[in-house]
Amino acid sequence: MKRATSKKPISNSRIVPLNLPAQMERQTLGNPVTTRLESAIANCYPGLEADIRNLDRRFFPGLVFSFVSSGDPDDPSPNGAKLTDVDLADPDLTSPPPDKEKLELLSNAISSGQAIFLDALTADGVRISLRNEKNQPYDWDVAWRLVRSLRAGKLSIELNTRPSWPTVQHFPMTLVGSRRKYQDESGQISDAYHPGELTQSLCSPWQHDFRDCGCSFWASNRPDISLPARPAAEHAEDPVIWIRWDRFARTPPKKTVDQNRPFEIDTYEINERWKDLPFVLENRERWDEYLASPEEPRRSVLDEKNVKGELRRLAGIEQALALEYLYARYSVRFGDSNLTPEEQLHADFIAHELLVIAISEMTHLHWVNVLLKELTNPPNAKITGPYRPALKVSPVVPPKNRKTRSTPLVAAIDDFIAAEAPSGTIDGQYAELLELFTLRKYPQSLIGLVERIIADGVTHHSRFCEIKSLLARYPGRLVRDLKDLKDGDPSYALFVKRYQELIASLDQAYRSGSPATKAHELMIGLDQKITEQARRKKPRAVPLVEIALKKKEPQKR
Amino acid sequence: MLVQITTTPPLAELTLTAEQPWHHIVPGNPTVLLLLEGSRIYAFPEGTALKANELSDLLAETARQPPPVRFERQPSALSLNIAQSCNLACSYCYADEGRFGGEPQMMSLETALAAIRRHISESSAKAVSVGFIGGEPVLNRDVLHRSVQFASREAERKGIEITFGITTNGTLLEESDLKLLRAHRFAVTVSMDGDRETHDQLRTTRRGQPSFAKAIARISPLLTQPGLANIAARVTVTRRNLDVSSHIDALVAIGFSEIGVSPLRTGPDHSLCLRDSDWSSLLSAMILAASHEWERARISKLPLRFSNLAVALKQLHRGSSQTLPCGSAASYVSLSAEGRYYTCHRTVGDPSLELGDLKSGPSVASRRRFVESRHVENQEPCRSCWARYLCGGGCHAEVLQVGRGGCDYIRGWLEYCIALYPQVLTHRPDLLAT
Repeated sequence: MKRATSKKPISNSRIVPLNLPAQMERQTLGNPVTTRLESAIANCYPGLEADIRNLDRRFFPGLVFSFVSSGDPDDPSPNGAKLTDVDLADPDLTSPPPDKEKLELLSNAISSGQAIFLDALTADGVRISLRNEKNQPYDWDVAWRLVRSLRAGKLSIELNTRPSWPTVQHFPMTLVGSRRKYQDESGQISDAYHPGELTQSLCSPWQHDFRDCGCSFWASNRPDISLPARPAAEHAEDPVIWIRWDRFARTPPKKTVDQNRPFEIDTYEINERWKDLPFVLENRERWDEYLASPEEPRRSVLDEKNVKGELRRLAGIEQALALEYLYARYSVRFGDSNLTPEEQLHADFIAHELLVIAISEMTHLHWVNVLLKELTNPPNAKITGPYRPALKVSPVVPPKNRKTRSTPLVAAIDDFIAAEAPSGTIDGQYAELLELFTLRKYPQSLIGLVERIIADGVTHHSRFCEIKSLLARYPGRLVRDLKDLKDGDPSYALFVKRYQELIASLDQAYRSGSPATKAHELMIGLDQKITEQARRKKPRAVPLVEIALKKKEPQKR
Repeated sequence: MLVQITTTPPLAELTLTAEQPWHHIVPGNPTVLLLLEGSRIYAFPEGTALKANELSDLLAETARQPPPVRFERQPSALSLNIAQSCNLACSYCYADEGRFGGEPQMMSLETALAAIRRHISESSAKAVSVGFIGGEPVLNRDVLHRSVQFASREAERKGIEITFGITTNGTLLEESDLKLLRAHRFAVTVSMDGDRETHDQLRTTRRGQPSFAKAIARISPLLTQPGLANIAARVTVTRRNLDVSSHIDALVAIGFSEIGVSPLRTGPDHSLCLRDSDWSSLLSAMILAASHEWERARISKLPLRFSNLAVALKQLHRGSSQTLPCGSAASYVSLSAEGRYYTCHRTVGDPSLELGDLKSGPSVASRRRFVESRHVENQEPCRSCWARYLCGGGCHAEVLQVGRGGCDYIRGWLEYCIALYPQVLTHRPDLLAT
């Protein structure tokens, strides 16, 4: 409905209305979005918001069909698409119509009581007969399905009288034209359809024919099964089926349709007592005045006293993920000249992305430690006790506390995607911290760190999804099989030592707040050694997670 | 009750200096079209431009009518200058340290209550507001407290909503004041000028003592526990402190979550007022601050703290369209300490803008005359400006005193906000909800 206004609406459809007054003044073409076929619950049984059969009744401009059935299996002759009208004013007909004489002839034939049916369709060089192998006409539903399957475009149709005698002049008749384009680019339905035509055969839960509808397909505003109206002390949570007289589910349903029938509202009773069907709000029938339940006061799910533990846990997860991603990276054939140039490009890309994400997790590990440290010290002291760097690898990671483990990329990629999924796992845990920090007005610099970690998570997720699609495009090509270095191998102990040195150096840097230059050098050295292992003739993987979990974080000072 | 204001006769006598624009195009991604009528905002499809004939068709489709004036027969907003005196002596104060060019004066309780009684009993609005200003209104503590209690009772008795406002320097707030502010729907505007150094340079006591530490100590408990009050910091930007971003950062660090800035155009110390050459620097500073703020809000999903930006975006979204810059005289009047009505708190003491006394009430005829004369279609060069219905012509008090300056700054700021608006609509539509 157009609201009264002194302003004229804008009819240029090329420009997009942005602000509220522009949106309100927009003159839209076609029907409101809720009535558009693509957004409606539209089927043919007979449909809730549109009966799609009504579109196809006018599939051939100038002609109107009905999809009919005799209902008698022994008499199929009146079945199929029956011509019911000729519309010479159809806006999709050219003027004058090329087959004007034939159309007038058809119009006269209908007026004189002849039964004319669609017998065949020819489109894209294929002729489809509307009769079965015994030359009997298909029933309405098959005829309609065949019409429904036509694409917009050139088409010829064959019409014949029923019963058909060879002596009837002009029949069978062939008409050449095109299947109607039902909607234009803007979504406007062809003007050939009269107001109400698309909805003319609808039923609704308030109409008696819905009583016997077999489709169990309901309008969303009135679910067929809902909770009974209050007060219904005993059965308040037992769902009630709309059609039963007993609105409180006190009588359990019987086993068969016939046994249930006496307990159900009958067709004529719906006509009389439709007002007894209450509205359903929040899945419950309502007779009384509806009052929305008051909004819960906003509070953080995280308690301030848990912040320390939560931060230490998150630090552990960040380190665990960084190690998992790094391990997976060494299973990628980056810099491998045995690949095709295209494969090389993708393998290098994947390895680069994994490294970037792993570095990002390491940065988060640092930031979480900054948060811990800042919250330990005045003036922001929210955490009791001195600051101890959180550098212990978490044995489990999200989602669902999956065990932290070194896994090659192909086997791990779904886990990585799940771990970084937005609004669910890690970012959800940071969001809780953010909420607490914001509610308690923690310093802006700390809030900013948490915000940045959350923002990073989103990009990690999309990067992993991209990696997955690349892996699928070159199955088995971009990765290599590696055997894990075993505990007991002389170089295994060396890696354990190096890793512990690295952690000790990070510990020192975090405590002092000085740049982690030494740790950085150690990381580069480790990376070189691990890459060497992966490129050996008998390639080996260094199980980073297991190495990191092997010994507890060193307790210095 | 709203009365339609007609714009005669001065309008007829004015000749247009240029053809009145009814649209404005802001290049960007996407390019945005503003149709002045109804402040409607449209985007062009990406990579295309509006063709000349399309533009003329569009403009032919607009009726080219200025928006109506919202003139209330009884103003729904009233401010009381309960203390025309101040404990500070800020170098730029328009109110002459609260005295408005006269002697320091306190509003008597009788005057305050009589004005409130009239305000509430005669108003036909469903919600009214009462503001307390000065000077420093807290200097007249007893009148402040008793006025709020009286007004609340009167409003409740009449069954209408009431909100309060106070503009304070914060330095005199006591626990009982905080209690009062928390217990009522108060919009508390605290005059703060940024970090300690800037603040203390501009805002000193009469003896030249700094006021920053005192203000923070008094206002902090309210920031932590605001109760029903909504607290905002208001920064006066002089030509010596144009760095808007740093003011916002400094005040956020103190705990303010809403910070507005306004440039100094008039004041006793002319060396502080912005000059023609300063407006482009202020515009750059505003845009820089707004860009940082938007980037932060886009990523973090937190509210905007820079209220100039937050308010501008909401107004653009709503299609705010006005022929006056504020509600002055149309829906708002101000009462001086001695009990005389003026068009607003900035014009207190100006006999030409007096609207009547407590006995007669603010004269409808005088108010209407003022509003008609100030109608943007009656102003030059406003009539030929594309931003006229967004800006409304600039603060009456300032324009009447020093004329219009910084119009390019206002247009530049609006253009920035219009260009940003589609992004906000895409990424943070929640920021646009009112």
